[in-house]
Amino acid sequence: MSPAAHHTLTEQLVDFAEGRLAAPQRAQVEAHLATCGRCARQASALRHLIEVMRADDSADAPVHVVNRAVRLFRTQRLASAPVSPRRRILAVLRLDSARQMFAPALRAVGSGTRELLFDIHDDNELEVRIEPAEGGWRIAGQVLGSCSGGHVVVEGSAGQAATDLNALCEFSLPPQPGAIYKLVLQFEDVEVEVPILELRG
Amino acid sequence: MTKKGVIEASDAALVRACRRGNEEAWEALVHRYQRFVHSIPRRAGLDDDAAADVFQEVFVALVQGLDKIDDPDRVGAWILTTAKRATWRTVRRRIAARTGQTTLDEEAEEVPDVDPLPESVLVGVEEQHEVRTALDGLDERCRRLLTMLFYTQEPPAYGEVAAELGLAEGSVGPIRARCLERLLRRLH
Repeated sequence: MSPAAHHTLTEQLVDFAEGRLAAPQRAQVEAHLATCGRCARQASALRHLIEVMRADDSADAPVHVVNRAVRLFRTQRLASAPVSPRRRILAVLRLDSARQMFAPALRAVGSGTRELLFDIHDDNELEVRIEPAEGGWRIAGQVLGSCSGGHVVVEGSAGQAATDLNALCEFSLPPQPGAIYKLVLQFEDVEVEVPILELRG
Repeated sequence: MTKKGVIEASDAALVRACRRGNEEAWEALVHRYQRFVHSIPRRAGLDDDAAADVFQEVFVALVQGLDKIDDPDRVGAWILTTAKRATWRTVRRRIAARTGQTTLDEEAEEVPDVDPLPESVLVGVEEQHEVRTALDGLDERCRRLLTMLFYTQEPPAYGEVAAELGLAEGSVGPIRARCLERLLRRLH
């Protein structure tokens, strides 16, 4: 059969698949299908497609149910996973009570407590206190400035610990054995690192 | 991704865009699968409230599992399995409540005694989803014409279709044939 004849047949095939043809035309198409595998496959695919559509009595989910699922992305994903990787910056040490020359600038602290002050991102400051506790050292502190929560991790050869900042952006980590540690504060879009924090008497 | 872009994007492209934090892609994914996910508990005989719970459970699992789906092209199969299991759990809970059974293994994943979702039903739901998704990718005229002719209980006469779509009555038959062919091509 020529391509032109095939083309004419396309519409006829659809009519056939839809059951719209009168008996004589139907017989004609059936005779063609018996000899043409391509048209037979097309006719059967069309018939199946039409059946699937005609049998489809499914309904849309209610709009409020769909909208609730749409909102999940914002609450579950954008809130927990930042779109871009966090910036990582180094905290800049400004004051250290262990260095005597800065001592007058620091408020009085109890014996054995070392106090450090760092400049961090966006004009915020990080205050860190290291004090002896339970045979080791407790690291505690506070973020001063525009802070809306975050996570604190301390890591060293002797172990690691982590905690969240509280509502006042304070933190207190469980006592760690004396060693050299790295302190990382994770905020929503930035990580602040104190690369070397030495805990010793 | 543009509006047209998300409608035409493959499932895999949408999943990848969601992973990058694209909220529009998520919205498109929810809209693409909403009828499918809603149909599964409904086919199992659950009412609208229970179906809404299953729906939410499936999309919570999806939003949390976006990074864990090994093959983003197969997100449809993933959604089907998740919806099927959530439906089974709900059906089991209902049966347990009816029979006064007190302990129930929430995590059990085996089929309940009488499968409320036989494979043949699920294959049908999947096929309907594929056809509707392919239809969404056609131009507006084809979409409207095929919807009027094949998705309505009492399909209107060609004259009515022609008036509605601003076509000559004689062109409805040929256009219908071309639209069906295009739809078929998108499915293969």
